[in-house]
Amino acid sequence: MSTAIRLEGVRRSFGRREVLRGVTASAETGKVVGLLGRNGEGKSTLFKILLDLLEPDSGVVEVLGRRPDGSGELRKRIGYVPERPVFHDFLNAGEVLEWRARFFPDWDAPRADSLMGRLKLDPATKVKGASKGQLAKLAWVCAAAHDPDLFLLDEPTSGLDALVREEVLGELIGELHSGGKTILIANHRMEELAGVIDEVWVLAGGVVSAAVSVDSLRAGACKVTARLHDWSSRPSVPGAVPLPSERPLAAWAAFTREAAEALAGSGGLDVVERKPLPVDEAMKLLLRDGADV
Amino acid sequence: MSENALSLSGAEALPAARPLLGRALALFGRAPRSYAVLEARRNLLLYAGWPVVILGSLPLAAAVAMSAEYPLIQGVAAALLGWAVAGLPLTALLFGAVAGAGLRGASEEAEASLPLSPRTRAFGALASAAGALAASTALVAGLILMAAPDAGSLLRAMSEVGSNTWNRTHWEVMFSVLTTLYCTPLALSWLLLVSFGVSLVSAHAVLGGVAALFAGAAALLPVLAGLMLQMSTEGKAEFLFPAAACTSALLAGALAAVAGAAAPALRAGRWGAARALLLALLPLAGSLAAWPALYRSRDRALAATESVVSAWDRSRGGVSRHLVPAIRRSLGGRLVMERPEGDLVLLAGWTPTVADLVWGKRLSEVHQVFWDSKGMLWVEAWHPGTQGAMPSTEIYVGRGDGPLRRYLTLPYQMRFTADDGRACVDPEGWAYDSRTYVYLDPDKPPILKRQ
Repeated sequence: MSTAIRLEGVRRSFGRREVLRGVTASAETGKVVGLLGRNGEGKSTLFKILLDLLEPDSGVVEVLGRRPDGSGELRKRIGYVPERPVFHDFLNAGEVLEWRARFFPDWDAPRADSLMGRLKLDPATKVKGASKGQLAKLAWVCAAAHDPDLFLLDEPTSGLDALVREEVLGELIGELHSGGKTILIANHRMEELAGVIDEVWVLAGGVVSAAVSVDSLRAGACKVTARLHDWSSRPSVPGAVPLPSERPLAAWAAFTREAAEALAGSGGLDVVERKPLPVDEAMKLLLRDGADV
Repeated sequence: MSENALSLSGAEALPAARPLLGRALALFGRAPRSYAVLEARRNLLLYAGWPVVILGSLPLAAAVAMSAEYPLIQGVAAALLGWAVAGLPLTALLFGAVAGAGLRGASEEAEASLPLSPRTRAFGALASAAGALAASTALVAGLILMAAPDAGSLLRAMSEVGSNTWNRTHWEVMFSVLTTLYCTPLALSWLLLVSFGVSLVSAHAVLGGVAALFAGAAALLPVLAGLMLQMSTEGKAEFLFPAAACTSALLAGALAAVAGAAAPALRAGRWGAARALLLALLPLAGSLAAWPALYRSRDRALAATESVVSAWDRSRGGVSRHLVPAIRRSLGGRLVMERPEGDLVLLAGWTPTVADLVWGKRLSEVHQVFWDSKGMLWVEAWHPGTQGAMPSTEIYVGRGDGPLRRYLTLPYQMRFTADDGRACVDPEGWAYDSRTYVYLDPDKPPILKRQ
């Protein structure tokens, strides 16, 4: 299986502020990868590098088998939904799509019309004065109408009401079902996508601190509760993070079966309970605390 | 069909140049053209509204002229002159600044996902702004041609920028300024380019426009000075074409630097913005080529005004004129002698600077030049006074093999002359009687009293 995204030691600074400090990760073609990271951790910067809008200071970047070269050619095969969609305010929705069609050789106008219809977006809707939901729908149509191989979605449902969120996510899942698409999605509400994503990258401290498959999370993530013999030396193992605890019991979240086994075998504790951890809970903990997974 | 120029069969013959050729031709593909149209659409209010502003200024100027009891046509002429000399350069600044800054900010976000390179976006925006500027320029030129009493004379004026321009009609002046200066790849393109580049890098239209105003003015200073010099002197200084050639030759490179390299430099990390800014200011380097041309023009203007004066031979009394050795007098009272060996010796005066010539500084005049019986060369020169001071008449003396020595500042009422082979001064200023003359000895300080 080929690699859709390959990042090796990618660094990027803005002035003195180093945002990305050596990001290394890869996504296989056809996979759906969730990108977890707090605000300001560099998710948008990473997206811009993948979109060939920014050049990394160092490191290797490969997208769909090509290295970004500043030409913008890569974007013909990428569908991008930014966190805050912006369009030219002198156009309406229909005109936005007409203009975009001129730049994408594979633009599928009937598909665009079909998407507009499903999302109930009126082509006459003026961009100036459009609601957040309308802009989000338009952004989705713009991203999908040229049938890209790779989707980069930066908080596509951020700030949307429940109905619009459901509509947009419904379209997203529809794309997944069509197969062959690689999707990298940053979403605070990762639990919405827990059922569809294959892998989770945790971006923290300017690096991908954890890259874990959802299947392994589903199979192995658990909450381990144990009685500690010595509270001054609480065991620490890769792939597990301590949870708030109340003596005499201590708790950990173990993200893999191996981590849970290592914890149990670390000595100095007696495991009382191992309870499966829901995937969304596991993701929240990964984001909050990180783990060397 | 691929937009890529590598599909063109002609490129097959130039394997080494294919990547560059491909990139250059790709700038004229469908996507860049579409982007230029999009940019024009984005700035439609400005680009389409500006000609309306130009047209609207004419009745306004006519109304002002009529209210001041001037003929209506003079108001229109003044407005068109204003557009030709100042309005269009400011238009270039404005359009460049708006186009450059407009590529950043909201526009950048809106177009982030479009498969366009920064170079293509920059060229598209520039093309759009340049087209709008050309339209405004054509409108002003057309209005001048329509309003002028004799359109044919204006067209002739295009080829005759040079001598006596200030004596021409104001229609001819404005049209020749407009077409020979601003419509060449000099002022307008420069201002558009520098304004665009600085605004693009700074993402600030006002900053870009103001920076371009000062930077462009500095770069165009030699061109403007040369043009005024050309119009001020009787002989053609022929400045404009060497300067135009120099700066035009660099314009293509500057264009590539600004749009081709400055825009992509903004993608880069460290020093990217600094590099982009340096590239944006690169067009100013073309002005360096204009300065030598300006000084050559100055020298040509001086040479054109040189005239041979007779160095009178007063050695035996009486008056006898000889042209040996040849003495040349030019602007500024510069007096040079051409020796038999062919070289020139500066006898008196100084070489006017460009500023002296352009701003019409009152220059010295040589009144008399003669040889006395001892083979000494005497020169009487009038100098304008410095600010607040009176003009003065200076007497110089020397052997003619080098710079002359200032011998005497002649009091106002006295007259300098020669008598019986000797230089002398008439203290009364009106007598022609040698009994009242005071004779001058070049080897002794002058004494201006009869002894």
